Amino acid sequence: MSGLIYKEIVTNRKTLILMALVSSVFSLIFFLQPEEADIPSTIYSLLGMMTFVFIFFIIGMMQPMIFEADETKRWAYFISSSPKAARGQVESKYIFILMISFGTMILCMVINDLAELINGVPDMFLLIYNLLIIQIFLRALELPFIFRFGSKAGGSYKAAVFIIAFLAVIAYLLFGDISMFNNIDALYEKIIAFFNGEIPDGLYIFMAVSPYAVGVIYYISYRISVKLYLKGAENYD
Amino acid sequence: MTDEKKSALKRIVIFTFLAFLPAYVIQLCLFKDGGAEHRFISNLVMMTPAAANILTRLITKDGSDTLLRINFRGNGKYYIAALLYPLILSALNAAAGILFLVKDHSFENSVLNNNIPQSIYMLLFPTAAGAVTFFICWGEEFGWRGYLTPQLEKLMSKPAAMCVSGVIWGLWHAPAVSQGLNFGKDYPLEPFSGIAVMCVSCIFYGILLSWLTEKTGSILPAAICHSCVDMASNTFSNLLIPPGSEYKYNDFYSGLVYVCIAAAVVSVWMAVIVIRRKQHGGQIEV
Repeated sequence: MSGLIYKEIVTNRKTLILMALVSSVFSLIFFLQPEEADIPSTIYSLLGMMTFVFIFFIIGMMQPMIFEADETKRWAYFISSSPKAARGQVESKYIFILMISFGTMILCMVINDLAELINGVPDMFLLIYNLLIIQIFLRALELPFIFRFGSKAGGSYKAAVFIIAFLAVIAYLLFGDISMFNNIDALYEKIIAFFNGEIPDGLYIFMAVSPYAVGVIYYISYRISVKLYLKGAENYD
Repeated sequence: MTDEKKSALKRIVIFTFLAFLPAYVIQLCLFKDGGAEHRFISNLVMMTPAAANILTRLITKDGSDTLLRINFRGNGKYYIAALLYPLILSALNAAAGILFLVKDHSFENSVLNNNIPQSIYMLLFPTAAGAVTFFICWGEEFGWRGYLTPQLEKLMSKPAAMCVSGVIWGLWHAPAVSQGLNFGKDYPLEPFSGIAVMCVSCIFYGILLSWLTEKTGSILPAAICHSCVDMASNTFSNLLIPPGSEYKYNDFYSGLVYVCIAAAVVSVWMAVIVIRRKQHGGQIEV
């Protein structure tokens, strides 16, 4: 398995460098605020939250790029005939995706720690932790489609999900209860309180169970992808 | 002494020096009351054994196994053990706390009795958070289990290597212990008895982590277990012992009880392994 993961790192080094560069540029924007700007700490915390959300979002968008290099019939049949078989190929992709997600988490935690050291930004571990769980969940949903239909078709599926989610948000904003947005300050205080550990009772159980559920979903997703891999290989060039 | 043993001894000395020097300097200069003012600094200290591992390999041109494999398949039970051990330890710690350490324990005021959703969160969250932040403890495991213990095993028997690596690991914590981390400051023969208890704790704890490393050929389960112990060791105490409860003894004696429990758990587990090996007619080893 180490060999296949090493292969992933070597063949995707440009993607990895690109991910690191994009994340670093965004973290620099977070750090390099002009002194005369005199940004209030609350706004600075909000800026931090947006930085982490954006970093996870961008890395999440780039993760499917690691499939492009291997989407050839020749490689698919070669690896399937090796002792590692299709299962090893799929497993290495799933582990590599996890490694990228954990790498993103490490980067965000280092940025948060440095920001705390330099600017006194509060600990945002809970946000980073939840972003990681969400990212793994989204990959668990997306990866079987990528293995079955290829990364380009998988991207179309993801775009469809985003469009549906976007339409759902628009529908909620048009017809749902938006009284909470009447007082933006109160909403912001609620968000800050949430990340400081003042969590509503209903969310406790969800937050406690979600990482375990996502772990199980990711494993099921892997098993499904193993079954779909050779069918998907028929579509490769 | 053979050439292999001589080079192992040289590597151990270099590694220990490189792991201790930056950690001691940072802990003595930047730590207050046993902890760093900023998380970045404390996380940096935990990476010093990893840096020492890499530097020692470069200096001595050591190409030995790095134990950086990712091999989940066939090793699921060891990863589950890495997640469960902290919870078992935490449950026994809470039982000992209620029986021997807390004054007038009342279950009525405990979190478990008053808030079920929060209790579920407090039970499940620390282990999950510990597992996903394994990389914080990865630095220590890459040093102690990934380099020091295998090198010591070239010089001595496995049990002796685990004891020596435990003592070295415990002494690495000495500046923080002497500043009051883990045991406070009000105890007899402070800080030497605190450092001694830390060394004993590290020996027993190290046995389990070395076993996980050896069985999987990877430091990953040890890093996960280490991280979960750091995050989840108080899980059941937080659930069952009401916040603000008065304790009969100070942190040192509480720490002593907890170390005894950890030692008992590891001893029982070792005994089970030895008995099972005997039943299967295999070699008896740790």
